[in-house]
Amino acid sequence: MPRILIPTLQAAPGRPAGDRVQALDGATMGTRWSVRWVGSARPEVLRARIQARLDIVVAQMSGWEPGSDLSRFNRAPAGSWQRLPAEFLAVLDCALAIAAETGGAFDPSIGRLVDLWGFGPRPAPTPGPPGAELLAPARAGGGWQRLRLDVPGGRALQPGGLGLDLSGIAKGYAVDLVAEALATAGVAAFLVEIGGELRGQGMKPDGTPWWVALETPPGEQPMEAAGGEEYVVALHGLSVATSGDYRRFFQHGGRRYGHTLDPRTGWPVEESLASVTVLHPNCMRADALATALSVLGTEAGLHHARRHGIAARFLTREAGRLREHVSPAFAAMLD
Amino acid sequence: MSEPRRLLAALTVLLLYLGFCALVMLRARRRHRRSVAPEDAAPALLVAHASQTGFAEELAWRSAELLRTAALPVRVEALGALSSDSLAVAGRALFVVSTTGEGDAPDSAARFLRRVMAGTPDLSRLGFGILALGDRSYARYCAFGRSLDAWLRQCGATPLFDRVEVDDGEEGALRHWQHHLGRLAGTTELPDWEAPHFDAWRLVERRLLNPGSQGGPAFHLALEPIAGAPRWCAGDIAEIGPRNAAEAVAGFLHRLGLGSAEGFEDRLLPQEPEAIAALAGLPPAELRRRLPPLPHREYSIASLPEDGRLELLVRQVRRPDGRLGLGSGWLTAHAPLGGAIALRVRTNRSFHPPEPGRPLILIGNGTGLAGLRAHLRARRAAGQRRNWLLFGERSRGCDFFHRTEIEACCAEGSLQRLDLAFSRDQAERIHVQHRLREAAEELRRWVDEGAAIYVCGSLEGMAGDVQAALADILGTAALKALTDSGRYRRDVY
Ligand SMILES: Cc1cc2nc3c(=O)[nH]c(=O)nc-3n(C[C@H](O)[C@@H](O)[C@@H](O)COP(=O)(O)OP(=O)(O)OC[C@H]3O[C@@H](n4cnc5c(N)ncnc54)[C@H](O)[C@@H]3O)c2cc1C
Ligand SMILES: Cc1cc2nc3c(=O)[nH]c(=O)nc-3n(C[C@H](O)[C@H](O)[C@H](O)COP(=O)(O)O)c2cc1C
Repeated sequence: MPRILIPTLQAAPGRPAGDRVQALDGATMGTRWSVRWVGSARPEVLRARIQARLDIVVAQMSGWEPGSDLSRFNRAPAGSWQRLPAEFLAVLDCALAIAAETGGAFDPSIGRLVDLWGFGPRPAPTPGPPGAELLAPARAGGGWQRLRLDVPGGRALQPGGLGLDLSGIAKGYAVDLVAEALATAGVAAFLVEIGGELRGQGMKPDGTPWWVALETPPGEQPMEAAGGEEYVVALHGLSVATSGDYRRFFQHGGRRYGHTLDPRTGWPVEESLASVTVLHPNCMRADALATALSVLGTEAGLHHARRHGIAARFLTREAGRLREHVSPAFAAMLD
Repeated sequence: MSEPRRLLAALTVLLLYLGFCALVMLRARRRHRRSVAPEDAAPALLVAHASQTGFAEELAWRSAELLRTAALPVRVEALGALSSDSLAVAGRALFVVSTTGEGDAPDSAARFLRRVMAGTPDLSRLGFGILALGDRSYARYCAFGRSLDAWLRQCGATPLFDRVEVDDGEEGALRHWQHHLGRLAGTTELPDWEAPHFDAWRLVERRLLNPGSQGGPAFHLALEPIAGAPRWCAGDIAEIGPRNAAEAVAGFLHRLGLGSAEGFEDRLLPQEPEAIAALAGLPPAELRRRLPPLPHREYSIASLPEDGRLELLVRQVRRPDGRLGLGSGWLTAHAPLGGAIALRVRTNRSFHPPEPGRPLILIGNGTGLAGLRAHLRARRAAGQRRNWLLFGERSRGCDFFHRTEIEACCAEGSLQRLDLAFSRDQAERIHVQHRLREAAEELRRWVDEGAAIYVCGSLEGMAGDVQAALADILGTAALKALTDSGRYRRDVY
């Protein structure tokens, strides 16, 4: 039997708002999105609303779009204040807050390093791990403390050569925006997913919430978990985000390098951590925290999760097998 | 990229669901305002002042000035210069009066006190509003404003809105007075005298509460403070600094032949072609200087600080020209999720909770549920279970805001009686005042037990009809006694 996770301190779900589940999906940000909802809201109407929200995120925060606000910011001359749209500011503000909370384990100014390792919009300049002569300037160009945000003024300071990368957080924000688009269209029960990050609300016609299974990395040995089972989460008023090196990595010289970089060293994080899953009401936070906790690693990550009441589950590879560690807030949701 | 596998409901799931539903908690809301059409051409509105040290007089003049900018004919007089006869035919009058000495009327009002207030003239054709200036550090706070209010009612005059009391010149209360002036003038765009000093909050949730409703869309909004841990009390008000939608700014600048420019999101943008034409050719900085700042908006707070978020229940207002309302459009449609909202909490002492131990009767309609919800939460948190809610909306199917939460309160016993009036669910229009009359017997019983009555919601219709029902059920003298002892309170708009 799977083990069950139920959110604490959430609003009670409303009763089912209809008798059928409808679905939509599409492509965005280099991945897929999908939405399921209960009720009679018309798919064409919802698709337009959803697409409008996704378009906002891509137009503002994509490093793949030369015309995005993010690309404009990254190209801007040193010392120039750049006006940013409100959504971009909201994400950057949250990113900086998490950077501060995690001592820079999550860092939105990591763009040049990401490019150097070939995980970003531009191809890597070298086939293997970049040399110190490349890493040093890329690291110097980053550093979240160099960013200045003027939220009331709606602008941010480009200190010079700083490359923003919001890939570790913008997807989560897009999930929140789509959830808001559905909620403000009067949809009371829905499940939103973009590239593996999910957010759910309300319940299905049969009176059950959206049950979502937590992923176990594919191709791994069975886990030695506390009981060795799978988890399913009741996603009511809750988001789940996972950061794992099995999704994107490269292999070089017999080693496997995950796409999560440690901004403090400029290197991908240790491969012993297979994945980190975070549960939080807000998907943007869950997304960024999952990345931050993987950078911190199991020990420091668990410590951080405990101190900040974050519901997190770490899967580590120990002696060829998967082992699991959960934070107290995660354990509190069990059964 | 791997898709997460979703496990569909297993056998266990239904059972678990029951436990799941037991995990009830919170949610929130609040209210908004509507513009009111000016009344038919009437005699100039009277603004009368009684002042000891000049503040009341100054505010009287400022009020008159503000009303004149909205083209409302106004005359200003000292209270001492008025007679019973002139009041009887004044039509509508605003009184701006202070209290001095040990709760005394200002000296300049002595003649009025002696000659006019000594009698009971027939003022049944007078509509009035009172701005009472005082200072809470004196034992008899706003005593003269209160006795003037009582006397006017006794003479049959009709309040246009509830008395506004100002503690030591408090700006929030003065803005609330301006809100009433705006309604009298039939405009919602009067500039603020003193712009509030807003704090930045973050919009973290926005949800439509009444899909399919015949009424305007109503939204649940949640905000978190960006800095600090602000405190407030059930009954308090959130003052919001609205912003223009980006498209509205772009459209306005475009009509003036300007490209994008900064600093217009908090300016009142004229709509009439002539007004816009008059601004043609100005450089952006000068243009901005000429435009008044957007006025603030007020919404009842629907949550408690302990909830960790400030929640509102906001109706989306559409103006006759199709544009969304300034404040409600910003909050319900234009403000981006996660974006900053300028907000200030205004203490609203006249709607703070009753002392513990009293039963509480909460009456309201529409978005008025916001203020009542904060009270209900405060009562639950304090373990006060003797609560009764009367709530009215259009239809049970669409407009029963926060239904799950309210029903959970009933189930757990923190709401001992619930009366719902859904006006469109049957042929005849049933409203809260009808439910109140049906429950007359029990209402008297609760009041005998010391209950306080709190009313929140629309000033037009509901508030007056509820008051009439209360007066019929309890008797005018008893209702007056409840008012005087603070057991009958209103937050109506
Ligand atoms: C607006 C937008 C447009 C995109 N368009 C494309 C596209 O056209 N094509 C495409 O292939 N991909 C695109 N992406 C990226 C793509 O969606 C995902 O591959 C990427 O977001 C990684 O997602 P994940 O869930 O695998 O990893 P997550 O765990 O959610 O995030 C990992 C990502 O965060 C960043 N990161 C790594 N370490 C850190 C750190 N320490 N601090 C902060 N950030 C870090 C890196 O970019 C890394 O890839 C886009 C992303 C965004 C936001
Ligand atoms: C001598 C003195 C006595 C006052 N007594 C009272 C009082 O009894 N109750 C009260 O509410 N305010 C009292 N106040 C406060 C005034 O009402 C308040 O300052 C008001 O704004 C004055 O307005 P005015 O300048 O129009 O007279 C008193 C102020 C003074 C200076």
